[in-house]
Amino acid sequence: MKEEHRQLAHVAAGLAVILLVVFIGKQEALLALIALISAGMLFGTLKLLGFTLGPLEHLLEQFERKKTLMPFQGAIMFAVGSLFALTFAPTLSFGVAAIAILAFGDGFATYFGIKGTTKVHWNPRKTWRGLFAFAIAGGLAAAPFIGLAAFGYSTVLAFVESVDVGVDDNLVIPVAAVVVKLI
Amino acid sequence: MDFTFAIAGFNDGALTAASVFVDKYWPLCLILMFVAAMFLTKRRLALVLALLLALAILPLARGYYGVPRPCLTEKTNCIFEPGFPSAHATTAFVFVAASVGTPLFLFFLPIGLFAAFSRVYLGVHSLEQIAGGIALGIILFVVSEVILKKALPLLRKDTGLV
Repeated sequence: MKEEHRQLAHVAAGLAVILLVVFIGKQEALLALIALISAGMLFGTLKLLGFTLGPLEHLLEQFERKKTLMPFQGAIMFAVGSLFALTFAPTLSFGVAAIAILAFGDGFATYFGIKGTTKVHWNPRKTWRGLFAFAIAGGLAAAPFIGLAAFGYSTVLAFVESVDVGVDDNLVIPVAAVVVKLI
Repeated sequence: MDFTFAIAGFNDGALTAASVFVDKYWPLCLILMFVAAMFLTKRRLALVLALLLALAILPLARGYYGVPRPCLTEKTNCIFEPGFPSAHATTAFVFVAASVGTPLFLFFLPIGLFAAFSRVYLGVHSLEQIAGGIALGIILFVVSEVILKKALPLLRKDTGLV
């Protein structure tokens, strides 16, 4: 599957978590995320142990990147990052905003970034175009929850995301968002 | 619906006995899980580092957030200390994350989920507190793996000892 389609799935997953929190409730979202993490790790383990996963194999083929440490890694890390944002953020609205920045900022950064030509000088895999796309899309998505401050947080997180720290972006962005907010 | 109240309000003899056992003997459970993990997983150093990080971060996080624990049932004694994030959930999910991809995971996941559930069932943690613990446990293990992945080659190069 093309990277663009994978990022659309990333945005859709974030939107689903946000809608779940806003329209159903925080605790329901937490339970859903714990269930998703547990199921993802269980299916990933079964796959690593040599079992076939039936219809899930098709899903894995469509959405998972080739170079991952374990099956369903992207989905699990996204759910863990969302769970962290919802629990460690000082307010629920900031937690939801962090998920919005993660989903829309990161998703759009990849979508636009791969077409960019000018690399940021601290990471040859990231472009200025992707960085700006992250800041704008993340800010727009988070603004309904935390107002114009969303653009400030989104810009800071765009720079954080552009640094190659070796940890999955789905974890780095929510953790960085909470740390920046607490500071 | 408040799941913290709903779960804490539920009462079953066997479930209470099992939850009180986990509450009382959690350090013993951790030791047994640690021994099993040392034999049956490959990411032992990351597990040790993640547990050390958990030991360091948990008191800091609890002190910083200062979220009180609920005191919802009489199944066990109330604890009047900050409860976010849950140490049981954090440590349990460090083990769960460390065992991914091994047969041990099939034992650690139910243990981890039950340990987390039992804290809410006994009324000593809220759902948010165990959810935070689960997220923290997994993140600490992932971060430990990355630290070791970057640090071990440097140590090998510099000292030739590792």
